[in-house]
Amino acid sequence: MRDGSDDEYVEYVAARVPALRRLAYVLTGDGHRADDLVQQTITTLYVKWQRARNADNLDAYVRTMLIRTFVDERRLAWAKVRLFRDTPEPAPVVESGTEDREVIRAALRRLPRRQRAVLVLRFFYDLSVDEVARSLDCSPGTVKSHTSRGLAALRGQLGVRALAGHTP
Amino acid sequence: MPSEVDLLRSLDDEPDTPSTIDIRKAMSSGRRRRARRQAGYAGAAALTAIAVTGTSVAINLSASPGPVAQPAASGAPRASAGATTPVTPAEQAQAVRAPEKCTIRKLKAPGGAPMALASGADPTGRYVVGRTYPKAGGYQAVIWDDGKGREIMLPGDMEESLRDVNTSGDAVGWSYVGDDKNGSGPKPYAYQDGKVVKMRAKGYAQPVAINDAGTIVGAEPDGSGLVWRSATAEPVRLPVPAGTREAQPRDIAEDGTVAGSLDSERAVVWGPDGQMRELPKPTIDGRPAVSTQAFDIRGDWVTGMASPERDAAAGPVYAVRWRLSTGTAEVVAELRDPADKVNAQGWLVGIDPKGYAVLVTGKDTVRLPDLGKHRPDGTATTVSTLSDDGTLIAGHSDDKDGVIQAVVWRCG
Repeated sequence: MRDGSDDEYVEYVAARVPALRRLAYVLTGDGHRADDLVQQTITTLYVKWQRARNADNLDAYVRTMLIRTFVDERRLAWAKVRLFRDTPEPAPVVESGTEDREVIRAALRRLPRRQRAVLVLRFFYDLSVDEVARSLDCSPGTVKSHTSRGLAALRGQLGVRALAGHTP
Repeated sequence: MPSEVDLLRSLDDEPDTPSTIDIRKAMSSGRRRRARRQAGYAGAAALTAIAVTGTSVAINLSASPGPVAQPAASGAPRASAGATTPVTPAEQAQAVRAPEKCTIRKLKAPGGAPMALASGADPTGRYVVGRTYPKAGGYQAVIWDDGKGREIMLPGDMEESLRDVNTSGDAVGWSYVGDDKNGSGPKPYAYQDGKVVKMRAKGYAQPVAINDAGTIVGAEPDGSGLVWRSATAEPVRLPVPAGTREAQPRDIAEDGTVAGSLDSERAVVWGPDGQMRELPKPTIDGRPAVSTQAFDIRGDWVTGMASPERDAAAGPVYAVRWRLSTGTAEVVAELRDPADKVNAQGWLVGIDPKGYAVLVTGKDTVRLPDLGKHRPDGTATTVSTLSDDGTLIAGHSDDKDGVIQAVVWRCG
């Protein structure tokens, strides 16, 4: 059954898909998984549309939905079979003249899910520690420790490469 | 030099793969999933606390009571040295020669589905279960018998999967079922004697494993662990200590012992008499692990993970192997991440530090080839099953186009 609210949903989602794919891509580092995540998010959004459309900040609301779906790996089809596969010991970043963005993407992929989400929200979206804590439903202390550990891990993996790549 | 934060901010591109987002499909599945109770994301994600109290609520899972296991731990961590668990003949380790080499073969997905994955197999490796991703979209539960795949038609046309199968070819799984009015969720199903059987549950439930006696273990979304004595039996709740938020049973042994964890923090087994006990914490870098989870059980062996952090996602995780009869817990250095499966010999399959799928026999570590290009992060290939004799292993592996495929390895 279609009604005005369906049209509104379609219009909103169609406009937001590129942004959601970017967010999902930075989180998952993989196009297919990114789309899986977006598809699940917009499905849930449709279910909750009556409530969601009245949210103060709909974009932030949807972003939180996507991030929580990502962090709660049980909701993701592919994650069910790859439990913990995303939190391995970091393998060394290969120095093969890959562009910086690919290197950071690879480095990010080696971080645990929650750490990744914290870094993305804090530095990709410039959210405050408190805002991130609310988004992820955890304490500000946890956000801080994930931030420092995540950055340290990125630095560790990028260190050699960054020096090699940027020293004239 | 750009800082890591600058680099992070530069990641503003869309995936380079073509978009597969389908708004119409989101609406049609969303319509079916529309729930009566709409929990808002804006609020706190409240976990339903379950009020099953204490460990006095013992249930009997075995037809004939076996030796009584250790009294259950009453919430406090405690070692379980000295506890014995009966091992049934089927699980007794025969003197089996450890394989030295494995070859990979793609399991053909029935109906020409382009993607598939394998989640479980019986202890001989003859039957493998999983699901495919048909061209038309959605998911399709599948059982492979000796490599030949057959689609199992579970009710519902949303998400579904078969999770485990026994040596008779009886399988268990779940399918999202619901309607516009009441919303939807996973309903438990068994596949028995060639027929799909709707399993009993108060609401939603997901079975995860079945043993040769036909006993099934699973969980409800609210955090209760369930045991069904048969596909048609009423489920019984697994007892948990007061204060437990979520019981996470993962696998069931032939004698009815269930392995799993509580709140993703404490690896436990429920004995055939229903008594729960916590598995001992292994030592990591000279200190006892902080959190543990058990994922698989076969005979005397349990495998899972341990972490020096309370939230395992926050730190490194280690593969662990427990031996129930001796109460030992050891970190398996040959594997990174938790081991995926243990067999009657105590052999393990998992991912090694280089990201390769491997079979660890104690004597040898045998590499399982990837189907396509190897990825050192260990995401190219996943191992899901291991036969008792070590000759058949199933899992999934990305093919040369990066598409996930169900595979079997033959080892000898």
